[in-house]
Amino acid sequence: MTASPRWMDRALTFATKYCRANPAIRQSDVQFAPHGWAIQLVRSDYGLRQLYFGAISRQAGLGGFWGQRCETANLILNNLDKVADGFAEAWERRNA
Amino acid sequence: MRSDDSVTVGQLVDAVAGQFGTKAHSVSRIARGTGTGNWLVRTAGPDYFLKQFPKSANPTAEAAALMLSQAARTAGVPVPLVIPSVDGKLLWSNGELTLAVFEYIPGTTSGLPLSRSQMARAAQSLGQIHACFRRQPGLRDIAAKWLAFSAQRKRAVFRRYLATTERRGYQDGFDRHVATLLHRRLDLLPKAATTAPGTSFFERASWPELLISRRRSCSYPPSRSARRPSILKR
Repeated sequence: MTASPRWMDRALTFATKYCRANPAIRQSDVQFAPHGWAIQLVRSDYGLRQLYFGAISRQAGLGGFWGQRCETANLILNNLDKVADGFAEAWERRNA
Repeated sequence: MRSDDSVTVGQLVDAVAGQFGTKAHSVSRIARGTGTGNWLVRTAGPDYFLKQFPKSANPTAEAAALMLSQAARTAGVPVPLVIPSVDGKLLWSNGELTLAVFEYIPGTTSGLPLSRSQMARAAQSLGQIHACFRRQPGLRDIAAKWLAFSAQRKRAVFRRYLATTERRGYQDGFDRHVATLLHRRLDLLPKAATTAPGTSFFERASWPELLISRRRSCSYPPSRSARRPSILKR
């Protein structure tokens, strides 16, 4: 999603479709999802632990996944309020 | 690089035949994935997607995830069918090798940007999954642990990885890539830490409430004017 220059439009499309498929979800869960994502994306060392201190072999997708998570965390943290507000509005349109 | 989970194609062919009752014409590695070894199994009939779990995987949790996947499919979520082993297990293991077999969906991949229509379908599926399992108790609640992370402790963890890549002498491009990204993670940590709520609230609130309740004057559910947590404005 964040790989596109129009990532915000895509994120809002995603939130709108999501809310329509799960209309019982609370607004706060949708609105603050970007906060949860940002925290999880920054703190997660998924893959590295297993790779450097565990026992899995190199995965072709791991490097790219690492990069994407950093990009996404960066974008979300730099636009947190905007994304959260957009998501709250997507929730309000869920029955439209 | 350690590869204790290495396996030969012959072992996989034998396991698929013996444990899943399917004679493979070929088994080839799918060069994608982030935590498991992924293989395409071609047979005289349908093709299959074979997932090989690392030895470090938690078999109880993985088996539970496969059961959830089957339940989601039954509820109409478009997920691949998990093919049980001949003794009815969704996750088969002999202690050395741990495998799950799925129907193969051609033209799908992971780790690549989704088109707009693919993303819309993904959102629809995610919403269906959450709606389907809304009342399903989790095996473990890790949200509180994630949100209560200590930036200081995490910084130490990231520095340990950096020291590891240095100690390895940046053996290859991947080490250098990881090191670069770890430095970026270190830069992002302070921002993420101010997004995280304090740990003292976890006993009594869900995570959105926690984010809001950092400012005591906020009510829940938040009004439009008060809904932005004050901690985000630092």
